[in-house]
Amino acid sequence: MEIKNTNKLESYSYDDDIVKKFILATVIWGGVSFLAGILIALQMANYRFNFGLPWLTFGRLRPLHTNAAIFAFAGNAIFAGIYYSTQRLCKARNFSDLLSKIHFWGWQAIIVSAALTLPLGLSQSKEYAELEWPIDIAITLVWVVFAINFFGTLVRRRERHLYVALWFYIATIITVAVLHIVNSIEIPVSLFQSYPVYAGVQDALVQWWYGHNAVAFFLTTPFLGLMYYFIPKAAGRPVYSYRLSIIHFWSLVFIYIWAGPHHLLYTALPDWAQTLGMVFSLMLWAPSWGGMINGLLTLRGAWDRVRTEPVLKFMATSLTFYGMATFEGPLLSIKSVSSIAHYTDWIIAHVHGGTLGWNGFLTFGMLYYLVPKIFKTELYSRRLANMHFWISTIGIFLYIISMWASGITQGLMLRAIDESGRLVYPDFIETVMRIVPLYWVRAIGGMLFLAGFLIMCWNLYKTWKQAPKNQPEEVYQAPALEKFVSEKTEDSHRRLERLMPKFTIFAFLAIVVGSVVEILPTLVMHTYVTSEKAITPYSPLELAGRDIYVREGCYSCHSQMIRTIPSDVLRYGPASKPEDSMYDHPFQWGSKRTGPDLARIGNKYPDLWHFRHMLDPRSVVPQSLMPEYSWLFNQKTNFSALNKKLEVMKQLGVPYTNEQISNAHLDAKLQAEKIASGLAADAQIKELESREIIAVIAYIQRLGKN
Amino acid sequence: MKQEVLTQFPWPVLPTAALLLFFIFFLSLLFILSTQGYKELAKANSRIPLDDGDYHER
Repeated sequence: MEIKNTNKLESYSYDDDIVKKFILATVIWGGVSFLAGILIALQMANYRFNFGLPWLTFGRLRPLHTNAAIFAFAGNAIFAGIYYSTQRLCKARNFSDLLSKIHFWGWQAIIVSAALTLPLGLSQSKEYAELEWPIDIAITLVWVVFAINFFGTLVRRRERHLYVALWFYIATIITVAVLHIVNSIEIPVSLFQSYPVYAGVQDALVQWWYGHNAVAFFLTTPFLGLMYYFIPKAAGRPVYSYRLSIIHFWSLVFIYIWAGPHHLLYTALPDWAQTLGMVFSLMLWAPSWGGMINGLLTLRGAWDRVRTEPVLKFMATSLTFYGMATFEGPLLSIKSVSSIAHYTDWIIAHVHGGTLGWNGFLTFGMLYYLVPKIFKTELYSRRLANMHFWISTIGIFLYIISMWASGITQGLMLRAIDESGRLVYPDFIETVMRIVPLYWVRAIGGMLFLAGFLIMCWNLYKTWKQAPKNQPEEVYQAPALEKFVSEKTEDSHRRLERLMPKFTIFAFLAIVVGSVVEILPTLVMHTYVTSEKAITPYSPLELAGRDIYVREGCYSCHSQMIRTIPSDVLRYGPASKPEDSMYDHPFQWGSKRTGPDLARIGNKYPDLWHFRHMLDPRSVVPQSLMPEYSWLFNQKTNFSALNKKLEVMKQLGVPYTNEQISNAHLDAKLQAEKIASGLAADAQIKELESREIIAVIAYIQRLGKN
Repeated sequence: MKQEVLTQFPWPVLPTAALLLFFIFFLSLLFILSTQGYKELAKANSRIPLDDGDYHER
C-alpha cells in the first residue's frame, strides 16, 4: 500500500558514541573472558594451574569465564549492534543519550561486580545466574533502562514498518527480563548471600528453563537480529526471504522456551517434563535451520566476495557454526544420545561451537564492519583480518574436535559394562586420565582463538588511529510518520508489524505459554505425588558445609544426580529421587562430571579420607586433577550466622523448629567437636572443630544418608 | 515418591492446548504470508536495512 507522506522533513543524527563505547567494552571483556577460559582449560589439563589460591581455583573461575563470555563479551557486542542498527532501522536517534550512558556504565559496573565477587566465592551456584542478589537487582534496573531506551526509540521512529531484526530485539528484551526475574527470586541471608525460593526438582527445572533460554534469548535471538541487519548491509543485498524470517521468528520464540528440560534427561525430573523438553528440542531443528538458510542465501550473488571480504567471511562462517550448533543441540537432547553425552565434554564442545563460532565470529564480522564505518575510514589491514579468521577457525576446530573426542571417549568408558554386568572402568579417575591429552589440545585451540582475537584488536586500533580527526556528526532527514489509517483489506500480520505494543504482547504470550505449561505443574508437584519417605533437613553444621561447597563451586566438577541409567546406578548407587534434594536451596545436580557424582558419597569413605583429600587430593588419588583446598583448614566456620540461615530456610519451607533455629550455632559446634575429635590424632591443627573443613566433611558425609 | 508416579502427569491438556494454539497460529501465518499482497510488502520490507539514512516511507 503506497501512502504519500506530506509531513515536513525532520533533521536528525545518530548517537554513535554509545556504539563506540560498547565496542570498546566488547573488545576489553572479550580478552578477559578468553584469558579466563584459557586458564581454566589449563587447570583441567594440570591442577598446578590452580596455583593453590582460593580465588584462582577452577570452581570459582569457571563461572567468571562463562559470565564474562556471555554477559560481558556477547552482551556488550549485542548492545553495540542493537544501538547501531535500531537507530538506522527506525531513522531516529536513540530515545535518550542519558539513558544510553546509564545503560553503558551500569552494565560495566555489573560486570566489574561479577569479576570481583565470583573469584571471592560469592555465588548462588546457579549456572549463568551465579551473581548474588544485590547484583541481580542492579541487572534488573539496568535492563529496564535499556528497555525504555529501546522502546522509546521505536515510538519515535520515522520508518513505519518494524524490520525483522527489531522483532528479535523485542523478544530478547522481554524474555531476558522474564527469565532473570523468575529465576532470581531469592531471600537474602546477608548482604552477599541468599537462598533461592525453589529447591531440588523445582529449582533444577526453573534454573535450566533459565539456563537454556539464556542461550536462546541472549546468545541466539539478539544475534539473529544482528544477522538480519548486518548480513544484508555487508552483502549489499536484501534478506533472501522476508516471509521465511517471519516464520523463523514466531516458530523460534514459541518453541525455544520449552526446550530447557533436555538438560535434565534421566534425572529425578518428572518424565513428562523430560519428554516435553526433548520433543520441543527436536522441533527446534526446523526454525533454527530456516534462519541459517535464510542468512546464507542472503549471500547469493555475493559468494565471490566471501572469499575476499573479511566481514562476509566471518559472518558466513558464523552462520555455518550456527547451523552446526543447532543441529547438534537437538541431537544431544535425544534421550539415548544424552545418556552418553551429558556430564561429559561433548556438551562443552557443543557450547563452544556456538559461542566461539556463532557468537564470536558474528561479533568479529560486525566489528570489522562497524569500526571503519563509524570512524569513517577503511579497515587498516584486510590481510590481518584474514589471518585472524584462519587462526581462530583452526583454534575453534582444535577446541571442538578435541572435546568431541574427549566427551565421547569418557561417555563410552563410563557406561561400559562387561558380560557379567560389572563396570569395565570402575575407577572414575581411569576415564579422566584417558582424556587429559585432549585437554592440552583444547588449551592450544583456545590460545589460537585468543591469538586471532589479539590480531583483531591491533587491526581495529590501527583503523581507529588512522581515522580523520574532528569528524562532524552527520545529519539525516526524513519526515515524521503520518497518522496511519488501516484499511480493512490489510492483513493482520501486516498490522502487527507496525504496532509495537501489540507485537510485544504477542511475543510475550509466545514465550509465556511454554513457560507456564512446564513450570506450573512442577511447582505444585506435591499436590499430585506423595513422599515415599520422610526427609530430615540438614543439620546446622551440614548447612554451613553446604554453603562452603556452593562457594567453592564444587558443582562445576561434581554432580549430585544419579541418573536412571544402568551405568550410573552400578557406579554410584540407586538413582536419585526427587525427595533426595527437596531441601536443597539451591539444587546441586551439576552439569559436568570432571570428578565422580557425590549424591551418595556419604559414609563411603571415613572422615580422615576426606580430610586428606581436601588438603592434598594426590595423597589419596595419585592421578587426581582436583585443586588443593588448603584454606579450608585455616578459615573458620561462621557459626553465628547459622541461626539466621536456618530461619531463612524455614521461611522457604524447610521444617526446622524454633528450638533448632535458636540452638543452631550450639548444635553446629557440638557436631563439629565430634568430627574433630575423631581426626585429632591425625590432624595437628589448633581449634580444628572451628575450621571450615569440618563443616565440609559434615556435609559430604550426609550426602545420600537421610 | 516414585518415578513411575511422576510419569502420570495430571494435566496433559495443557501442552496439548498450547501446541494446538501454536499450530493454528502457525497455519494462519502461512496462509497470510502466501497472499499476493503480502509478497509485495515483504519484498519492500526486506530492503529496509539497505537504505538507512535516506527517506523511506510507504
